[in-house]
Formats: sequence, structure tokens, C-alpha cells
Amino acid sequence: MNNTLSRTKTVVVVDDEEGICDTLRDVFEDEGYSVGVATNGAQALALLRELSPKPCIVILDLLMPVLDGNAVYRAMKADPTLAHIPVVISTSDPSRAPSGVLIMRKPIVLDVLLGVVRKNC
Amino acid sequence: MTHSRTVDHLLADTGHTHGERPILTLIDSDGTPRIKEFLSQPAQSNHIVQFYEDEGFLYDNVAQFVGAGLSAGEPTIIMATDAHRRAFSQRLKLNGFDVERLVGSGSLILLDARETLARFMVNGMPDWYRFLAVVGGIIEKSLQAHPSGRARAYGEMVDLLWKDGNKQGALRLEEMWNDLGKTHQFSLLCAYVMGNFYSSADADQFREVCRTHTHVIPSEGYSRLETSDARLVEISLLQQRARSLEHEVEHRKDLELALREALAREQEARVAAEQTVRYNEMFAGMLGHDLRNPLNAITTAAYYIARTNPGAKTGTAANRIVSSAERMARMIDQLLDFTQIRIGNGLALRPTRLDLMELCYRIRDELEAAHPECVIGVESDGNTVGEWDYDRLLQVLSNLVGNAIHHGSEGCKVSIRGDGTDAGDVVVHVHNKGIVSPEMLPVLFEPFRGSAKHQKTRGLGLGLYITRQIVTAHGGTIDVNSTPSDGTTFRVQLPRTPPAGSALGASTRVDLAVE
Repeated sequence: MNNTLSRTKTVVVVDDEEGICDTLRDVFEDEGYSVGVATNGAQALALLRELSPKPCIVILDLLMPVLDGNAVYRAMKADPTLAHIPVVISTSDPSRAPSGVLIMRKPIVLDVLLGVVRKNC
Repeated sequence: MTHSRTVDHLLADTGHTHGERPILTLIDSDGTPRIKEFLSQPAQSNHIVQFYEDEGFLYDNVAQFVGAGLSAGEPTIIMATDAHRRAFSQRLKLNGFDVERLVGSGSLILLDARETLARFMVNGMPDWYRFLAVVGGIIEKSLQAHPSGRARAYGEMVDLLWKDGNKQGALRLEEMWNDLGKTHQFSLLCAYVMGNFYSSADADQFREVCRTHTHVIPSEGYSRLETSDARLVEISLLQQRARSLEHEVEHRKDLELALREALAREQEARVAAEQTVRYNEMFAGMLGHDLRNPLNAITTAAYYIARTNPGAKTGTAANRIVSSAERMARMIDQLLDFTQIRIGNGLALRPTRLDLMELCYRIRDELEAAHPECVIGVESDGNTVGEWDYDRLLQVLSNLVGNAIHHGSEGCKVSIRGDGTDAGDVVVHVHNKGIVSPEMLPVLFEPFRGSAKHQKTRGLGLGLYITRQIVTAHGGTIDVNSTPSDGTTFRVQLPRTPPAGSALGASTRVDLAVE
């Protein structure tokens, strides 16, 4: 892994459980990534549009207030500046997830998630 | 309609006569019926109604009425259906009448009831002036040619209207016949089939039909009785039947009321039960999604502590948190599955084409990593590919192999054997050397089985129950065999394609990209 390169990469975590956001921030920062956090879908879209360069991956919860994960995913796919960003759905109910996307069932296994992030960033 | 109401009517003249009094009556002073004699010599303006069940009885009486008229030189008009006209003609021929000659001379006029009716119906009701012109005209014409001074008519037009459901029209036509009788010299026989009056709602109109006639001839069940004594017995029987039917109707009304009340109570209970089910589903949803989120945060944070403190006591403690939280998550999963099976719509499958052995190897790798002291052997024979729900079958194998590890003996040796040699089914055996006690075997797949008594229990006692539900949802079977000599073998048999209706559309599951 090229640390110089990965230091410039940003991981975005979207989850309404702040404990998850805080822990994942610590984990990914330890790994050398820059981390953006949002606790609902609307915040997430605003953050994603604002970030430059765009993040290398988005870890997206499904059930959230204001705007849920499915709506965020659809909005990303409809936005040419966001459509290319890899998304991992982190959910307790995989049956609600959109098709064709990586799904991690909660509780997530940190090593597996790290592997996915390393592979995509 | 009850018989007792009509019998009074039947026994004598209705008193509704037009013009002269009848020469003969239907019933003698001693009560003996004189139907044939009466039909042979009806008085002018007699308007007789004949009820019948059996057509043979009708043919006899009409032939009697018409034949006697023809013999007496009275012109006779028959307005009937095609089938009845033919039957009457035949009956007259049998009685020695030359029907063709009588028709040719105008003594016998055969008309189609439906066509004649159509000539004076206006907007669904008989029109008096047209009736007068059509029917009155026919009678006048026949009287001119045959100066006997009186005619006879037999008609089925009222019966047709009644059968059409035009009861008002039928009653109106009966009145018109009576009015025509005031100015024209004829006697009239009408016929109604009793099947017209099957409902109790017909009682008033039946009474009205009787009222519009001067004489009523009951259907053959009564009219064919020979003696007055027999008729009195029949009246008693009819009265008893009417009473018992009235009583029966009352009884059934009470029953219906009771049933309606019971139904209302049942519906109330159902609404309450549905409410409970909704609450349960809300509870299950809360359990699944709201409790899992903080649990996820706990697990992830504990992972993080363990990673950053490898080898230290803090790291070991964090690993214990992870292990317990994962067990708690599994229990939440099981409760969710149980809720879905018991009060939801059952387990929904998302089948994809997969190799069962791929799942077996994955389970082996995961469990051997978690239990390095264990040896898990995997072997297979034949083609083990089919269409199944990947995650659900992973759950089945994880449960069976996990149980085999926890409840084994002689160290920790588990074997998984896949058998794909059958064209229709794939079978998986999970075997260890442990023994299931004979009293546990029959209840092994029951929910919450003996968890309070079971020393080694680590969960809710739902694992095998859910496992069997998943296998059943795939159209398969699961059974267990346990003996002290051979150990325990769970056998799962799965059809290569799940039955229709068990799937909710094909899944597009994507494997995680893991390094």
C-alpha cells in the first residue's frame, strides 16, 4: 500500500448511530485516511457534493432520518459527479438494500470492512 | 306462501262473480269435489284459475273444459305455448275430436300466447283498448260464426307474464279479463304453474290471483283426492305443515340473529388480534433495527480497542465484548426470524444459482478459524449445484456445523458430506461423534426447547427450529439420527429448485470484495 497516496484519500461514513461514526472515524484515520461523517441522508449528499476531491468509498446505512440510504444511493447514481463512487451498504436488513451493491450485515466485522476499503481506496 | 292461507279460498266460490251465478259449483254441499263436471259446464262469465304442478293434470282439465265446450257447439279459443297447444290437440284427438276440421271451421281457434300478448302490451303493461280490440275482437268474431251465444277461452298469457316477473302486468290482465266478461259472453280458464309461487313473499300476490277469479282449482295434490274425508285430512295436513313451517322460519330467524351476533363478536376479536399482531411486528422491527444499531457501535468500538491493544489485557477484554455482542446479535437475528415465521408471512427466499459445497467450504474456513482445535472434514460426490437462498443456507450450515462443534465429543471432529448424485435433490450430512439424548430427539426442532434445563445452552433454543423452517421453505426436509455407536448425523435434503411461491424475486446478491 502506498501511504503517501492513501493519505489523500477520503472515506465517508453515513450512519445515524453516532457511536459508529466516531469509531469508524478513529479506525480509518489510524489507517491514514481522511474521514467525512454524516448522520442522515441529506447531510450525506451535501457533504458528498462539497468534497473535492471526491471520496474513494461511501459506507452507507439504510434506515436513517430525513433521507434514507436508498434515497441517497439513488441520488448519487443520478448525479454524474457522484455516480462513480463505490458504495458499501451497512444494514441490519439486507432485504431493503438496492440491487447490485456491496452489502455488509450489521454488526459489521471490522476486518472485512477494512479489507473492502483498502481494496477500493 | 303457506297452504293454510289458500285452502279457505279453494273450498268455495270466491264470491267474485260477474253477471249470472254459476249453475254448478266446484264442490257439492256435502264437500265432494266436482271438478270435471264443473269444467264441462261452467257458467257464463266464470273466470276459473287452474293451478298445477304436473302438466298431465293440466292437459286433462283443459281437454275436459275445451272438449265439453266443443261438444256443446261453443266456439273455443286456446291461447297457449306451442308445446301446450300440441299437447292439448293430441289429447282432444285421443278423446275423438277432429281437431283439423274444428280449426278449419273456426270452432277451435289455436293462438300462440306470446304472440297474442305482444299485440296488446304497451310499455310492459297490458293496454285495455288494445286488449279489447284484440281479444274482444277474437271472441266477437267466433260468436258471430257460431250463434250458440257463448264461447270458451283458455289462456296462458297471465302465466307468461308471471314467469317474466311482471306480476303487476299479470294481475292487471286478470282484471281486464273480468272486465271483458261484463260485455262478452264467455267463460275463461287460466292456468298457473305452482312453481311461480315458491316464496313466502308471493303470498299476497297469490291471494290477489285467487281474488281475481270466480273459481279456484287447486293443484293436483289436492284436486285428485277422491273423497271429502280425504280432503279434510289433506287440509289438516296442510295446516300442520304451514304451522310447522312458520315455526321453523321463526326458529331460523332466531338462529340467524344468534349467528350474526357471534359473527360480530368474532370480528371484534379479530380486529383486536390484528392490532396485537401489528404491535408485535412493530416490536420486532424495533428489536431488529433500533437495538442493532447501538450493538453495532459497541462491537465496532470493541474491535477497535482489541486491534489497538493486541496482547494486552484491555485487548482481551475487548475481544470478550466482541464475542458477547456477536452472540447477542445472533439472538436478535433468531428472534426476528422467529417473529417473521410465526406472525409474519414466513421466511422470504431470494434464490440464486449456487454450489452447496462452496457454502460448506466457507463455513469450514470460518469455523476452523474461530476454533483452531477443531478438524472439519468436507467431502462431496456428484453435482451439488442448485437454486437456493445463499444467506439462508449459510445460516443452516452455520447452525448445524456450529452445533456439531459445541456438542461433539472425542475432541472436536466434524464431517460435512455433500451428495449430488440424485438428479432432483442434493443432500448434506453433518456428522459428529456426540450423542443426542433419546428424550431430546423428538423435540429437537421445537422452538425454545428445554433451554431452561439445558446446561450447555448458549442461546435461545431457536437455532434448529429456524434451520428446519429455512429447509422447509426451500421445499426440503431435515432429520437427525443419533446412536451411541455412530454418533449424530443431521441430514438435509434440498430440491435443486425451490417450490414456486417461496421466492420473492431473484436476488442480485453481490459478494463482498475482500482482500
